[in-house]
Amino acid sequence: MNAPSTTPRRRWLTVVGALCILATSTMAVPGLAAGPAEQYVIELRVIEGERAGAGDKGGDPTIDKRLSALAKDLSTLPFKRFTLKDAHTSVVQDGERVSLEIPGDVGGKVRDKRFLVVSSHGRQSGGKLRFSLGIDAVKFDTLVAVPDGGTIIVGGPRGTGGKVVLFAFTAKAKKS
Amino acid sequence: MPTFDDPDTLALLCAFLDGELSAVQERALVTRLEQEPGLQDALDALAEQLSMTHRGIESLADALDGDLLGAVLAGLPADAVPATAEGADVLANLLADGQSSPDQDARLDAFFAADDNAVVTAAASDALAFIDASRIAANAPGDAVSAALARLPELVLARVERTERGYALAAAAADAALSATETDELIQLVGADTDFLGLLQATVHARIDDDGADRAVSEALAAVALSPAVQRLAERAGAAAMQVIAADAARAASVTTTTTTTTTTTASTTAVATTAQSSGSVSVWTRIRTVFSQGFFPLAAASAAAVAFVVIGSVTPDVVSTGPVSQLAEVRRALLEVLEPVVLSHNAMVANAEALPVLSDNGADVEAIDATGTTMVFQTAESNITVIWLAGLDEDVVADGEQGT
Repeated sequence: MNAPSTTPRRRWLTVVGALCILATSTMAVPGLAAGPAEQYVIELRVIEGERAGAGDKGGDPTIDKRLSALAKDLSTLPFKRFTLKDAHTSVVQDGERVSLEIPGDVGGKVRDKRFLVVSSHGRQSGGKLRFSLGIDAVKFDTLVAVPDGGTIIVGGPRGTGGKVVLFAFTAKAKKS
Repeated sequence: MPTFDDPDTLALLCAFLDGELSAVQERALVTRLEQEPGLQDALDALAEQLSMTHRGIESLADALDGDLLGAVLAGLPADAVPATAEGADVLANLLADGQSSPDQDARLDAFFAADDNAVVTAAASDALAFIDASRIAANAPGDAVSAALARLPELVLARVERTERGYALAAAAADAALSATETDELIQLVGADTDFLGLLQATVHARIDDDGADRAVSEALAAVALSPAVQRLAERAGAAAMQVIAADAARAASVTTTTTTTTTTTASTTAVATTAQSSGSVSVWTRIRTVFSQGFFPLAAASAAAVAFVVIGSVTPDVVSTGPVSQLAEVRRALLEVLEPVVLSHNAMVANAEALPVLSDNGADVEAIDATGTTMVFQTAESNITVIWLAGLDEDVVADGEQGT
């Protein structure tokens, strides 16, 4: 006598059941119910800012020519020099995470590696692209929504030689 | 035409055709066949009859979709249907098709009530759940539904509620909105040892840990659902489902063709078709296709989902594993493996990175910030770029610009 699990009907039911459970489990996570995951092109630029000293006079800061698109925005920050240290463009999909090591040390001390971790979280209801950016080493985490193609800047971690590290993060939905 | 008046000769010929004669007996029979032409004719006729019988059996098996056992069980007196999952399945099919006798309904009711035979009860429940769901979806009249079906909503509801509760709690866990009591409840509900549920359970355990594990839970849930393992599982399940459905469709078409053809040809195959119909072994595909063709897809899908819960619920062991707190470190390590991000760079300088253009208005929404130091949010005047400044980490750096929220 055949076992129940070997009958076509039972096999069919099991497969449908598995699909339903998978579908339900996916829907249990917010933002995952919609069809194929959208992909996003993200660009992370690591910028070192050199602080203006007390004796420094005002004036336009020196900005790396590769940061020309951001020059006017960066010039409002209190640094006398901006240098692009690293830049990466990557494609992520909803839920995917990427990280970038933060350069620098403090006073010659050996410190644990620090990473900026960026996670994609789909779109806001208004259409903005939602990402979380976190730096575990400094217990920082934020959830932001940027317009398609928009840029935000996160700054503060110390870089080499007393400089400060800034991240310029840009995200754009990838056209299929 | 030879006759088989001599039972011994008939037995001898049958044994010969079945290869059961010894060498000596075979030689003796061959000698007789050479000397007795009538015996040779008898042997040929007998061989032809046996061949037809074999073909008939094969045809019967094909027409019944290989479900000879089901056909036999359907033809048995109700009391003789064995208390097995197969027997329950056959009775449930007959009931659903309105072809069951009161005795068979009573027998199925007895299966339902059999507390000492969980396999049969579960099988009957599963089969009826699916059939009833299809019936409801097709809006078919249910005049053949016996009192046994009245218990079905309770059975389905109990299992569905349990599963739905589990996923509601999981969704709350994703939002880091679980209370301690709800966390314990979720741990118990998803205690089954499967890949997905195991990881889900791990995330719940991780939440019990302190030091900002709420975020880890949220990220872990998203990562688990999107993890390559789950994705591959979904793909395999999808491919398997398509294969099974295609096979069922082909099988249904084959049964239909065989039935139509054989009914108009020979008496024996007409009997086959009749038996196939009375056995209630109509393909699941046929039923579902009928349902879908009537435009009841959403209801059918919902019914199938409800039944899926029953099926899964009936095969998923109710394992409750609360996991000692001492295992949290191990669980967290496993989670880290799942959550390990792709590292783009280790301080590598990329000189020619292709830059995306900067919008004229980059107005962003900062929905949440979790930081230990002083955090400032402001926007640049030029392109409205939001700047999040972690001023408390190192030296204070006060930025010019508009103070944000």
